[in-house]
Amino acid sequence: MSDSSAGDRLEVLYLRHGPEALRLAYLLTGEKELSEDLVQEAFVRVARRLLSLRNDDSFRWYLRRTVVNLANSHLRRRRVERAYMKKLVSSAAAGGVTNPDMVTRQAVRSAIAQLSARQRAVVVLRYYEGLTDQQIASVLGWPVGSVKSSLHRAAAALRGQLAGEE
Amino acid sequence: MADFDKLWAEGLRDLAAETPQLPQLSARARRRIRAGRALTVVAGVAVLAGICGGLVIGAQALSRVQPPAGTVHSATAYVLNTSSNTVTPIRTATSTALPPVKVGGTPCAIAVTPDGRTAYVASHGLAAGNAGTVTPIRTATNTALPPIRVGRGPCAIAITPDGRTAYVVNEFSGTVTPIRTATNAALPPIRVGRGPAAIAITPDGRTAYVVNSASTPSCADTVTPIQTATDTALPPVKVGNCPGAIAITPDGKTAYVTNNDSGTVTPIRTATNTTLPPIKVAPGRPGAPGRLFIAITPDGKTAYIVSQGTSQGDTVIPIQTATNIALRPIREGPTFPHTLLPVTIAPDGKTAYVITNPRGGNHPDTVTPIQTATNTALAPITAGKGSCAIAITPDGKTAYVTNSDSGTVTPIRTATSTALPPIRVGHAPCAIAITPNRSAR
Repeated sequence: MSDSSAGDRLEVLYLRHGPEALRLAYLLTGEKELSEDLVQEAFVRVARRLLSLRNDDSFRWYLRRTVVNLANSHLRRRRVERAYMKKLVSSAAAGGVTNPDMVTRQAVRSAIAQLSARQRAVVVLRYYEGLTDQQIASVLGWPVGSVKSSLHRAAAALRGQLAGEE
Repeated sequence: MADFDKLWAEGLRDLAAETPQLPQLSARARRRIRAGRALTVVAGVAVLAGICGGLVIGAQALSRVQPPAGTVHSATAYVLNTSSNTVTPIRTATSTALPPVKVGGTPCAIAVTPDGRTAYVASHGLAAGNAGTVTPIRTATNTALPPIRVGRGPCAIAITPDGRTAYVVNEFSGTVTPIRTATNAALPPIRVGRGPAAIAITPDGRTAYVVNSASTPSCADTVTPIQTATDTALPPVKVGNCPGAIAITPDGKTAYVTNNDSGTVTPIRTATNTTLPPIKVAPGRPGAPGRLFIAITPDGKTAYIVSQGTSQGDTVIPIQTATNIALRPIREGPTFPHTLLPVTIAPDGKTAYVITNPRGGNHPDTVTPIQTATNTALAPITAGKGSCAIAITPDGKTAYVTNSDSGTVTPIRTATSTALPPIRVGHAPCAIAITPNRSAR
């Protein structure tokens, strides 16, 4: 592959998969600047190895996996989960809504914010990306049982949050 | 009950709408891609933590094995650090952690030979495409032997009561790999059903039962018996929808299989591999994330089922094995606290322990003892965050609880139901197994 065609391919891949990867990174970290950095880093890592991949789905899969792994590793190292939580909860509270539907949404937002990084990864992959248990296990490199446990814990957290709002 | 799937999806869509615009790919990133080498901007190698389900099966099977006679050494607990790719041995006599032993990526399940000499650790690997490994650890020296290659996604392991063969369940390959413990050689894999997740071996060692679990949206509904003498799979036994966990009565006559989607437990007569009518323990809930777990008391009289994720919250249901009748659910207050994980029964059978989280959110988990004589829950004992699995020493004096989010193990004195100071281990500890007391040789 020549330099210029590789450059074109890079641009195409970045524009095609970058926005989705960025949304994923943002949902996982709750920080705009951090999610931009994470996506660039993930893209570098995947593109270095897989630029020649003909199959777009494979590229997307590896990019998604790398974003999730980088986000979790970063959260673990920096312990920024609490910051994420505070930010999301305060931005939710700032709405000051009374509509019952919005109250529920606020509770969901608080529940998402209070999940551990691992639980959030599973919830985002299931309910935002629409993956099956098996696919989530594959992205995260976890056993399917771990995925199910995390989903259950997340559901319990949401249930608790909704009970608190009532 | 609220439609959680819809709530999650809407909440995440709201949040995703706040995502910033995609910035240009930086010149530096382009240079790095061209240079083909990594500069770590954000983080090093990322390995995720897992909360293993179904992995305690081997440990439970093991805890029933009686220690051989002779001079007794104290038992060692082995804790799998899912994110550190290590195993931390804990000397149970003093509750002190020994230096970690390196194993393969994402260690997920462990079983110890009945003589206590070797612990087999199954490492799941990082992705569906990678082969998994099993690392034998010599318990006398806590040294790892060369890893044994098995199938993809190994996450359950059980050892025959004679200690000759370890059976490793490969979740992503749909196979079971037998390992001869004398040579640590893997035999050809045995094909079972889709997504096998759990295994239990009859006390006479003749049959291993493998639960074919798969995952949503298309669940398996079978259990494959394996004849251990020939390492061949027998015709699958049809059970309920999405089976998950299995336990066999100490007399070996009945295997109980939990069916997550049907909310039932199917007894299998091991002599004929035929099923008895399913026992209803929870409402049917196709696709719900909650699961059913099971453990049987050492006297074989009662099976305890943990039922997650029903609209009434989580419950523990005892089943009388003589009649296969489900008794009244055990509650603590109006309902049982949320987030119950596999139930572990003390060697004397007097107490069953479940992991609970009455306060939810980021609060530490608790362990709730249940008196099996009266089926009443006692006061919960605080453990750490993200509690994952429990193992009890052969003398029944101490229960060890792994806390995956805290990176610790909490010892609990069973006599007084008091937690001792947590022991620091590696990242995301989950599975745990304790050696039987060993005789000196």
